[in-house]
Amino acid sequence: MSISRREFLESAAAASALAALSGLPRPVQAAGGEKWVKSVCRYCGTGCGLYIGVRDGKVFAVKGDKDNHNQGFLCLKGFLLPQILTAPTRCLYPMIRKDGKLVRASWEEAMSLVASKFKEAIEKYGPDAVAFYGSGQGLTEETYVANKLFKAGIRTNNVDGNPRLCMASAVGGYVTTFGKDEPMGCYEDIDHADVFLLVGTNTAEAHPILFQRIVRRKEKAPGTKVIVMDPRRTPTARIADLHISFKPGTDLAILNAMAYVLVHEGYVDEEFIKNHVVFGEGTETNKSFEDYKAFLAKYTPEKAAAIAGCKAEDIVTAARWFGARGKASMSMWTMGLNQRTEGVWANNLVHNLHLITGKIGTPGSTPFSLTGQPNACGGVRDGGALSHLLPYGRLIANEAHRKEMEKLWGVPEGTLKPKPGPSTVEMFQKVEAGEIKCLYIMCTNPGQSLPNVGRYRKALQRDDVFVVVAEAFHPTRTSELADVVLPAAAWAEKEGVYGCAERRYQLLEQAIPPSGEARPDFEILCDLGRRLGLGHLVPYKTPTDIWNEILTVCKGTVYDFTGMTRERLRQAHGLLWPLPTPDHPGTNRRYVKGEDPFVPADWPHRIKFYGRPDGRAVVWMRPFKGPEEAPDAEYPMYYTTGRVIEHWHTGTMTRTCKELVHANAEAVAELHPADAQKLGVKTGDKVKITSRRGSQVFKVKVTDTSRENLVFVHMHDDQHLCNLITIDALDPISKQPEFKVCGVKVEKA
Amino acid sequence: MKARLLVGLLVVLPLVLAAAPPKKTRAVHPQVDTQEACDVCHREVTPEVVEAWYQSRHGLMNVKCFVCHGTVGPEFVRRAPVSRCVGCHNDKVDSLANPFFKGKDCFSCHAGHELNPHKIGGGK
Repeated sequence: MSISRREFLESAAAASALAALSGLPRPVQAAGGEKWVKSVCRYCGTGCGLYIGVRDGKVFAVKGDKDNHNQGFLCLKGFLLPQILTAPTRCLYPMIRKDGKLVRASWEEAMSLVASKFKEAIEKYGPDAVAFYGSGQGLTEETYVANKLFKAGIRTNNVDGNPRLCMASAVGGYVTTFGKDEPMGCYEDIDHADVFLLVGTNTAEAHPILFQRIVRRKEKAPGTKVIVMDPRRTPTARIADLHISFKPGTDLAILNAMAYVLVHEGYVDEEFIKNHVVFGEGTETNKSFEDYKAFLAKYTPEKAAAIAGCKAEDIVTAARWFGARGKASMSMWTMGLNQRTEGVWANNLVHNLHLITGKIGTPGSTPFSLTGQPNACGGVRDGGALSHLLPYGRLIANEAHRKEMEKLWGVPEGTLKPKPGPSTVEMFQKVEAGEIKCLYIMCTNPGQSLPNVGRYRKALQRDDVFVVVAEAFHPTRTSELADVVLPAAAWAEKEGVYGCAERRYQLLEQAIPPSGEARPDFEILCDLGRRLGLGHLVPYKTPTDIWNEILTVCKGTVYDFTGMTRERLRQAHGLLWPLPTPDHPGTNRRYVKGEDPFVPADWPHRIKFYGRPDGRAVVWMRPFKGPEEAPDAEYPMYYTTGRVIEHWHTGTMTRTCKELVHANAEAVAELHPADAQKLGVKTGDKVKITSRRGSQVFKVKVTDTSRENLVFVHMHDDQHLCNLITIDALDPISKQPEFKVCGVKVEKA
Repeated sequence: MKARLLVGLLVVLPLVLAAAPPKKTRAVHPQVDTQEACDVCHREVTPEVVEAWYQSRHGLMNVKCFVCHGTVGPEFVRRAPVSRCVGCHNDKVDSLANPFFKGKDCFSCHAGHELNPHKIGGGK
């Protein structure tokens, strides 16, 4: 006798009764009305495909999409996603601050107030008195509407987003080295790599499904080498063949020393360099390979090791593995390199390793920046929703680009302002200075996530600053400071596109209606546009209307994904741009002849870096420079922040999942045993960590995975703000803050 | 420490019993300080279980205790139902529809905590 899957699952219902109590997925039932809706995970930039299980109008489960790149796997956060939708902290109706308190209001009342405040500020002080602060979590369509409304409608370039806090240096690295943003490689490269250089990334916790793919590659190809460069011995180091721990902020010296070894031990690919590379210093590309060799002389492994506090022989080993002839080498990095005052330079130095060895553009050989948010790439970077950008690689400061966008957006020539607006931290400094009077914050939590956050929390509380927060959750550490809170539809309650780390665009279909009175962000923005008299610029009724316009805007750019019609996205399990025609399969490897549609078939070489006018990538000579604030006598320890696997960003969502809160309840200060002994503390005791900007008390966790003289705190706890301590110094090129390094003193509390 | 040992005794028993096929009796994990992750206690009270998990694929990938077992108190799940596997292994769960697997679940073949592929012999 055979039983059906459904019968089997029904028979298991009793065993799963407890799961039902905990809000976790239950076996599917025979009852009608059940459906599985194709979507993408709400959390990190890996972009794992999943199906949302809906029964009786409610989300009851998720399961991984085995036809997507994640092959059906989800990490533990993704698995628990259904809980966020019914969290008690869901924001279900508009609120207005009255007599110091946020009280319930109607949409009409709230939107009228927002529109009148914006109108008043614009009329009295000009368009630059208002600003938009967006998110790498907004859907592409939502971010596009905001960008257009503010830049072409209100006529201000005060538009920035939280990708400035995480990806700006990666953008700067790609643009300065290759001429265009976004990686040339893809996830599939993991399956071909022989050597992984993981630098400044705790992949196991921040990108678990990509970590799993690396593990599988290592299992399948036993000779595979994994090099992990991180001051802490993180869970990622479990698979390391070589873990290099170093003083925070010294990796530029190590990366240059690796290049020194590659050059001096004959690992360079002279032919590749001759055909594809130029050398540069500062902003000029007028140097030679000989100049580069002379530059590297300062970075022998011994000298770099002395700077970094690591072993010279480990640097040599890492370089030899990376450069080994016939081996494919893939580098990955994230905030360890990006959240630095030398973030762009650090990115350049990783690219250098690939360019001098020619290990780029072949399966398994690529520099690959990992992304932290699900749509930082697709929505904000590609969509051009930063203060210096216009959509799809166009620049505010470029007159031809402005004219092109004015034409596409149907606004008079000269509408778009030529001067870039402020970057994120600079924007909040303008709020602090009283120059920005109205701020619209969408789908992000700067009241917790900004560096030196105490300073900017005060700015947001100025009496003369009007703060609007559109958010699916309340209270957050930002919405608590708002004058108006607008309830936004959450993941699964709306439709739109996410673009993840590998240029993969995917459609998230709507599974259920918005909760309470919540509305999709694009609808709220269109409503604001109409009330400001700009409805003609944002006349959209559906996300598809917006997407169809976006397809006209990307056309003819190097991003061209004109072939990604809504219907094709609906059918596909992710598509990689460029994809310029409906019959194009998508592009795994950019700049590669035969794969990238923009490399001519008769191009004489296997690769063309067409992002730069000369078709060549740049090997930049970037000297070692330490962090803005290294430890000193007064603040003698290094302080760094980062992720843990259970939580995500400011915890707005993950801290609503009881299992995740149980497993990792609060941010703790991880201390090396030697430091704990010096301080006279043990696990469970409390310490007060103080920097020049602020202090916070944390419980202690003593662990030998930390490095001596380093204290690590995770960033997800809304009640223990790690960012009261961090520094708001910026990379001069990317304007990304140096969250990763500052000096602190630690005392027993 | 005494409290932890007591907690341990209360916890070990149902975990050992989990080797048996699914029963309708409920195992209830005692309420404990939820400020601590599972392994803080379980490294002391069931070190072999923690070690088996740590060395397994789930341990390497940081698929932590609560994914299969839920959290404490009445929400604790002694033997994970397939609904907790389906998030990542939905195609494998589908295969349970094969009559060959009648009366079995994932842990009938993949020993709990070690989770070695096709280790016949039931859960641990």
